[in-house]
Amino acid sequence: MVGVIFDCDMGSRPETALALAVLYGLDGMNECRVVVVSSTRSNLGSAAYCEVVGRFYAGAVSGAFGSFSRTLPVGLLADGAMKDDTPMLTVPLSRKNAEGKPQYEHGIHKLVDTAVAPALVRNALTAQFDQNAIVVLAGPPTNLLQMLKLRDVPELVKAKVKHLVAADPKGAMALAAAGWPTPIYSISPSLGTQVVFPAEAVDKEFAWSTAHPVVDAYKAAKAMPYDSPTSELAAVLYAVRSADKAFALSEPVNGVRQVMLAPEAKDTLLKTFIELASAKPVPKQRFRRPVAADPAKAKPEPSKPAEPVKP
Amino acid sequence: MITQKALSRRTLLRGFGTAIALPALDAMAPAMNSSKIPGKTPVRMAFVYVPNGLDMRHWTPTEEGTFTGELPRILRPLEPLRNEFNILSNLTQNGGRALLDGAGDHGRCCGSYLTGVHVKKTMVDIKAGISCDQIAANQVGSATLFPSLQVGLEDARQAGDCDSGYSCAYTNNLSWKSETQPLPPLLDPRAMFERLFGKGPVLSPEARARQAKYRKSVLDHVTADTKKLQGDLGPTDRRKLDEYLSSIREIEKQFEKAEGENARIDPGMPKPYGVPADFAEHFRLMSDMITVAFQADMSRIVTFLVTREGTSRPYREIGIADGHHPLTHHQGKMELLDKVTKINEYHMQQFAAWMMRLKSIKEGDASILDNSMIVYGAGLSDGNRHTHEDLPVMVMGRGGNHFKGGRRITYRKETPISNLYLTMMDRLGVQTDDFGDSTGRIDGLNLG
Repeated sequence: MVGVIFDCDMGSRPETALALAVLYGLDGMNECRVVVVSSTRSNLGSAAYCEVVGRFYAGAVSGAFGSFSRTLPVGLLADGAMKDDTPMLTVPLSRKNAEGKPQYEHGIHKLVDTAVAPALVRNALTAQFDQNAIVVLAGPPTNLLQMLKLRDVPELVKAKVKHLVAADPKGAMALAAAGWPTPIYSISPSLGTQVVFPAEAVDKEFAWSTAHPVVDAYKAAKAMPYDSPTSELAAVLYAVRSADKAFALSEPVNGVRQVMLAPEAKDTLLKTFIELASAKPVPKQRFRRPVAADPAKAKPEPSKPAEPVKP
Repeated sequence: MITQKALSRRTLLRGFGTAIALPALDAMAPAMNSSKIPGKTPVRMAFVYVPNGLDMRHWTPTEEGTFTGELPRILRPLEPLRNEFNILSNLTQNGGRALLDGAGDHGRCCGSYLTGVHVKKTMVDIKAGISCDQIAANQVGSATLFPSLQVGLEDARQAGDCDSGYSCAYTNNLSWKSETQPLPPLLDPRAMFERLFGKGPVLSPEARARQAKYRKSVLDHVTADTKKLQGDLGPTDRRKLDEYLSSIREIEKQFEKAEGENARIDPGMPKPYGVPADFAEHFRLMSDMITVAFQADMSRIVTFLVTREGTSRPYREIGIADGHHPLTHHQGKMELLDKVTKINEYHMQQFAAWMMRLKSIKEGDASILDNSMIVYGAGLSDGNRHTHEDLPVMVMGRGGNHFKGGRRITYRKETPISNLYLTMMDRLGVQTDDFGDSTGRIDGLNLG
């Protein structure tokens, strides 16, 4: 099963929280493993929120690493002044439950509770089978560019990473220019605005949980109701389901191919986004089913319905 | 006595099959500047490795920054030196992790400890990487008689399976001259003594036993040179020289005692001739000789494998008959965990005694310890779960008035321990841009 590295800019756009939810939704369906999550937003809340979402879905951030399925910390860029808090971070992180305790637990209170992102992502890649890792970039490429400068990393990326999918063409172009050695895809800017995540879905589809960190972040980010673009959700989905017929590809330009919306695929894609983003957490399995040869045809075996998790 | 002509730093006391280097003496400094050590004060680098991880509950100080309260249980023997060392938290050795190679954390963690690489899982065609002490020895080791020294107390087997398909070469060596050539530690104190002070061929254990029966002291061979030198020295230097030669004689006496006791004690495992049955005695002998090597500037780079990684050595000396490795898989049972802590404390007691000796030996206005940087630690953090992050790392000494001690410094997670080694190599004058899986230098150790 392919491992996904998710490098984002958590806290800047509500779309990023939805994209992370989509990723954990795919993880819950055993279509991928979330290997590591890192953020380029130099803010402790950014890392703390990533960990909150990870714990909500998986019990702890990231998947099997080394023996005994140990987990990795959240990576954070911290090479300058810390960025301001944003409501989409502070509101869920400060939410209290009925007992007056934090609604969402996390273990990030100081900078040393976070990991150095380039080393973290590099180390995570060393633990992946060849051509069995995918990198999703949902923010500036700073962490990845720093990692690329480390000794032997270009060779490591070439060996381990199947492809990289960037939500923003600028990030994709910067990585291509820096010599990223595996195929790079970027989401066409038009796709993100053609398919928008509706505010009403945030209200209705997540109602199975009385406290959901993605919903809390989304509602705090801007005055509701508002719809969100979906470039980052598309980056996650294309990374894992690159054969999905909702997507079409451009010819490569400067080493980057753009991922576009296939004709008449808008409704299908939106439905998929909503289903994955609002999927319930699935208890982690020690051993997993092998992934289907054609991910587009892959249907999760009917299993016991997941019990709603008390966040 | 102030002489107009300085004594050479490389002066040796010579005799039949013997060449004894000298400690730093005032007479080696230019006239009228006798309180200073001649030339640039040497900085030493050593790595002292203990196996099977540590009981981290009793290792890590609770507070960040300056040590304020009581030191944790394992560190307590270092109380008199609390301002001489730093505890570094959150350093990681990624090369020790499984990285798809399955079981064998003990084999990997020791092989990767000073090399910063993920070693090849094999019992035959071993492959690691050149260790940081050997990079340093290659660049700056020519300044001393021995570019580096490798010392150990237990097992120097180089073949066979020592952990889940990992060669014993990985668990029984710290230093690697190349990616395929480990440098086995010297275990036999007398062989070490002869290496340091005798220039004849290394004798077989039996031949050495015959020789030892009749020999009095290596100092007897250099009597003439010693008397001549003493005549040229002032009272302070004469006292320094006397103390130094006495320390060598003291080591010899320890041999005689240990060899005598070996005839009566069954250590429960095969040991070469001259290796004391008593662990503390063995540690003391080897560390005394490293001290002399530092004092006489015979070597500035040392690796010390206290016991081999994954060892199941029992510690009957302190009433623990269970093997060390099985005890570390305590599964949370407090009675087993307490024995692990006792072993950790016992190792630390030996180390602390050695460090206090280094602190007591003056070198100009400072001590040998002030002019050293000695890493004490392990390749695993939690021996029960085989974790390779937040390793137990102590840096003892001031690295030549460069490091500020007495603190716990916590780094960000996944910071490679190779970054520490790179920083230490800088201090030694080694020119290298990176090492192992380093991502840069570490900060926070320096003064100011």
